[in-house]
Amino acid sequence: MRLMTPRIGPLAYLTPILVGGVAALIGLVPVGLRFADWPAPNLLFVVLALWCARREEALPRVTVFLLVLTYEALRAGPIGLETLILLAATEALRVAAENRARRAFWLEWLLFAAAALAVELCIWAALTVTFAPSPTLSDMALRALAAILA
Amino acid sequence: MRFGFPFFFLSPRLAKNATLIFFGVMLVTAFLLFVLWRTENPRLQAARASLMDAAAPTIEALAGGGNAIGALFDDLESYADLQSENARLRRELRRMSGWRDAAHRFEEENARLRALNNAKLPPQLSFVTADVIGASGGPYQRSVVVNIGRDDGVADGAPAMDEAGLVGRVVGAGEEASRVLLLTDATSRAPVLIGEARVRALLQGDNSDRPNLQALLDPEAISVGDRVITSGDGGVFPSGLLVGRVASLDGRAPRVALASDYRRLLFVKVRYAARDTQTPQPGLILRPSAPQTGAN
Repeated sequence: MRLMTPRIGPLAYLTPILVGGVAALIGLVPVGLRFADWPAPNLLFVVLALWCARREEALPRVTVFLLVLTYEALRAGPIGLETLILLAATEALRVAAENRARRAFWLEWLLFAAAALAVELCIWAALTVTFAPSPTLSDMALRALAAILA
Repeated sequence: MRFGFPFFFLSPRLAKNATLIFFGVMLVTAFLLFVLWRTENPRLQAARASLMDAAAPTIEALAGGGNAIGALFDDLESYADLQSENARLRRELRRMSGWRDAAHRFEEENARLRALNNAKLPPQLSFVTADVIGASGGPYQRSVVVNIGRDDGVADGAPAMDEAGLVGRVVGAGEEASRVLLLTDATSRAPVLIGEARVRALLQGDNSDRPNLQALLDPEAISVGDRVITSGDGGVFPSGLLVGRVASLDGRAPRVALASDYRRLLFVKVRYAARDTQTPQPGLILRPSAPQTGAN
């Protein structure tokens, strides 16, 4: 039988929205221009993955959808693509989190690393297939590595 | 899959179906938005510009903190070379003062000669200055957000410069904020002229710090250090705007070191054209002198 999510307070739903919002805004601040040579991690994905792994009941799918879509709309580049891929990635992480009690931490970290890499690879592949301007595969790999380290 | 918000008030079976349907709707919506973006739908672009307008004050407030952090790094870097930096700036100021006088002389002579020939002036170029309040937010585009928009007379395609040279052009103008595509972006193209020989080429960004030169008509005629300016071809940029200098001739295509330093981009001047003017009298062509600053 599928589990119903336990009822939690409104603050628990607001916390990932606030933290995710801050993570998204950090990426939009122009301080990044000074460090343009360094790969910037996808902080929003890091926050969403953390909540999926630890408090997935406080992160409804609609929150993921609205957060990522708003972030995509504010920043330059494709809109809708990262929303689509992150919805799938967070869903996979939710399923994996259901078995968290039986898994070591390093394995959980490895799972997140695989998800981060898969997200960047899927984004790059989708842009390449649709002949859209896309960053190089090495840039996307570095971005995934930065997210893993973050 | 857990079923909860916002369907926790339903029975488990209904909540499961509702969650699945809602999830499917979100996936389809995201996919359709991507398709609309790829087809460059103007309504989507307008909606995006409106959202940028709404978020601009928040991002601008955060940018102040970001710039403070950046200034801290700058201060740390320059503290070590304070004395030599000071001497370099004084030398540059003296040289600039000399060029300012020369520019005034040339302007007067230009006005006299145009009046003699009853020449029609090209459109007067004016500019509006804006703060850089946001970055592109990802690896997909090299761009910045500035806090001026259509309300300030900015239109799509307007060139943006800083005190050193050309920065890029406006690609998405909202009411109060606009996005400026930098010359280093992979989709940026700028027709340019190189050196004294005025060799024509196309400056193409590739997401690196030094864009490359494509479609060079005479590669042998250029050398490292040659000045690169916009040619005005195709109306992409007005002619004569400084882009940078040829940095290297190695590899498949020559590369240009941009005059503008994007790492320290705090403000830009977005240029727009006023209507054409005739030259009734030379004195009307001369622009008023810039106000004297304390440094002078």
